[in-house]
Amino acid sequence: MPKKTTRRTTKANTRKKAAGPGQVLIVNMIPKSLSGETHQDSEPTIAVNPANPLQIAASAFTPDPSQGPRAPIYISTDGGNTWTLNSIVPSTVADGSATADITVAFGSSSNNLYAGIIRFPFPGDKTRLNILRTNDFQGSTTMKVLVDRQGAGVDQPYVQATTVKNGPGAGKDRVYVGDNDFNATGGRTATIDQSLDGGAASSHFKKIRIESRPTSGQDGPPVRPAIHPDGTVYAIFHSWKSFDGHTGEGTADIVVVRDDQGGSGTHPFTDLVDPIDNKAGMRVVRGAKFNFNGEKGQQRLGGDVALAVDPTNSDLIYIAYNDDQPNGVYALHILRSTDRGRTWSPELRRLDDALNPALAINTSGKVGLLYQQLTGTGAAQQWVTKFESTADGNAWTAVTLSQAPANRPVKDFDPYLGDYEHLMAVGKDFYGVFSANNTPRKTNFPSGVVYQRNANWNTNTLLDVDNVTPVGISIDPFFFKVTG
Amino acid sequence: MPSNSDPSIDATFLFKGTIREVKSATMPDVPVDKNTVVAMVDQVLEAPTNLAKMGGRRMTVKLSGRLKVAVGDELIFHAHGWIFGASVAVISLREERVGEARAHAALLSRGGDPVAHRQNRRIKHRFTSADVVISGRVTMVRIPPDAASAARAASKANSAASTPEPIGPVSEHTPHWREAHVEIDDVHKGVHRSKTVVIRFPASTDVRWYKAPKFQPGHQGFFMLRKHQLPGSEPASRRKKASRSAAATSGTEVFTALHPADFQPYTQPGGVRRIIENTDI
Repeated sequence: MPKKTTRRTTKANTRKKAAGPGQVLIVNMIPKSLSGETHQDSEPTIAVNPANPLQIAASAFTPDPSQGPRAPIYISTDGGNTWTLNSIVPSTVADGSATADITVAFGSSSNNLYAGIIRFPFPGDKTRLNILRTNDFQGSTTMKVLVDRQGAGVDQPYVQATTVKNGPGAGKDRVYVGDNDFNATGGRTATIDQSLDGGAASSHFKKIRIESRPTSGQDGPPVRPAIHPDGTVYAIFHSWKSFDGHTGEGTADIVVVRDDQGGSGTHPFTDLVDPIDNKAGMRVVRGAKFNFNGEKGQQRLGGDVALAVDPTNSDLIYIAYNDDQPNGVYALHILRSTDRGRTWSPELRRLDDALNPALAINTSGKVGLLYQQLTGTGAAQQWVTKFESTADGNAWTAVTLSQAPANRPVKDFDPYLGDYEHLMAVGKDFYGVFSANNTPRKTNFPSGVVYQRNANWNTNTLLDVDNVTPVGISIDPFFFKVTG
Repeated sequence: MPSNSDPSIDATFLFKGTIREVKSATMPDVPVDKNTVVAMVDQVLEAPTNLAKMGGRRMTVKLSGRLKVAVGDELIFHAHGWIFGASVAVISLREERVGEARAHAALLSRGGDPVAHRQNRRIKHRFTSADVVISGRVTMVRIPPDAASAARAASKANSAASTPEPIGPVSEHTPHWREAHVEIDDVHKGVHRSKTVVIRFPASTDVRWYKAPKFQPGHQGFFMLRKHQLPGSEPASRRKKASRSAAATSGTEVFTALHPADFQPYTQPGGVRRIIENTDI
């Protein structure tokens, strides 16, 4: 068995490509010391510290490699070129501490890292929300618990944060955690847990129920906030209108809410009103079909949404959502509003059998879209992860980040790739993360890739820490950066 | 962060090591203070798979601070992981000087597989903390009657075979509870007077539940069981009426076996079988 790998070759190619605008860096985030791991590291998110973009945190369903009492996050201090795991998340599982959901975000100038997690253990089936914070993501201190809620259960916390630049509250972190809170009354479960001073010693979080209409009994899991530096905060969610518990089929409105003062007023997130019923929240799409029991390419379905706001113009937003189309197609749609969500463009882009959309807009107004698309048929099906960008919403340029068989590895659990992935922009640069088949095969990564873990690229084999023993393929998280 | 309820996951990595450097680390990203040392791993004693091959390698150790150490000191470390990168850093909860304790000689000469030693410790903890340990055979698996009746009412389903999940909060983490009815061969721990037991288990393959044993009729083996509080259940006096039909069919006690080690087939040697046979593991 040859010990030499082609890592250097791949790295050299990537370095060459990553030098100029529009170039791509892709890094497999599993560190060298975990070369033997085979876990399904799905559902990743990423947080770049805007105050120091060399500092990046990321999350996935990666358990603590030592089976210790805390779950890990991924950290990089060199702009994503190398990654380590740091177990500082208070969530305990007996045979490998992890979370049941996790997302991360930095304040824009505070250096505070926030996390929204579903914490283990939770008794029965009542999921336990924790909102966490650390000001030293490299340290050994467990992240501080800011919110710990169980009750009827909370699902899919998705955190975003910013630091107020000017005016009242300057220097304070505003933290927004979108979640589906079953403690809400009347089935209006779409919620923003919001703090206007998340960095305070004893920060206070307020529950804001952003659903203004009757539901089928609850809203869907994804509630995604997006923040503009001028104080505008948007959120998009899946407002369930019907749901069949037998089939998993349902219909949902795709609703966008907005707050023009960052949620600091007496009626937060009610600034965008639907003129048809005069209720808060614009129903951008009505009656989108979904199937909560659906599956494609080992990946479960159920409703994806994403939203990005232009950092130079808070009037301009893009959204992405999925729905079920005839003939079993799961379609991803992209729309735009240029007037703060009041009116919407026709469909700008449709991608069939594409999911996990993530959107971001850089300081040049360029829109980035990350998604994963199932292509081909039968045993030849592939999951293809692409980053697309556009300056005008009409002409899109695509970069393939990864392409690999959809039937390998066989999934260990749901979700196979994740119920979401993540993309963000800092300045002109796009940073993202996705999970994919980790087979070390060059054709799987047409834009190049760097592996930290041991691999033989000639035999397409992963290798253990001894750089000799073969290791089975699995799902790994991949960081990428597209230079602006 | 101690786990309190499960000491076996506080110190998951036991090794004998020699201090090679003080106030130093094997990776640039590790914050270094007076308790940070570089140690050579001389012998791995108990370890999860990811740390089992650390023998003969240097790693960073954040000491507990209880002992004053110097280069060349040989210690037994009770640690868990901290940072995994190009190298590994661990947090030591306790250190012992080699030779201080009489048990050290036995520990160091024990031999065997460090991963198996750790697994045995885990199984021992599961056994110790179980309410009841039985052996037997799964005779039937079904949707719990209380869930089925609620679902029937909600969805007007026609047959038990197609009975859907109960209508309630729907999330990707919904457990999809099932009941396994087990005919008992023997009770090895605790008190259980009936000849059968009902084990509630999640059919869900979500990340929350996938590791829990999924029972099927015909499964035979050892079951380490814990009493289960049904979600939303009320004190017996208040729930009498509501749960009468469920209790009549399911029995008054419901147990779970949620950890992968909580079920061991008869065909698998060692593990809980050795505990039951009072063999030293």
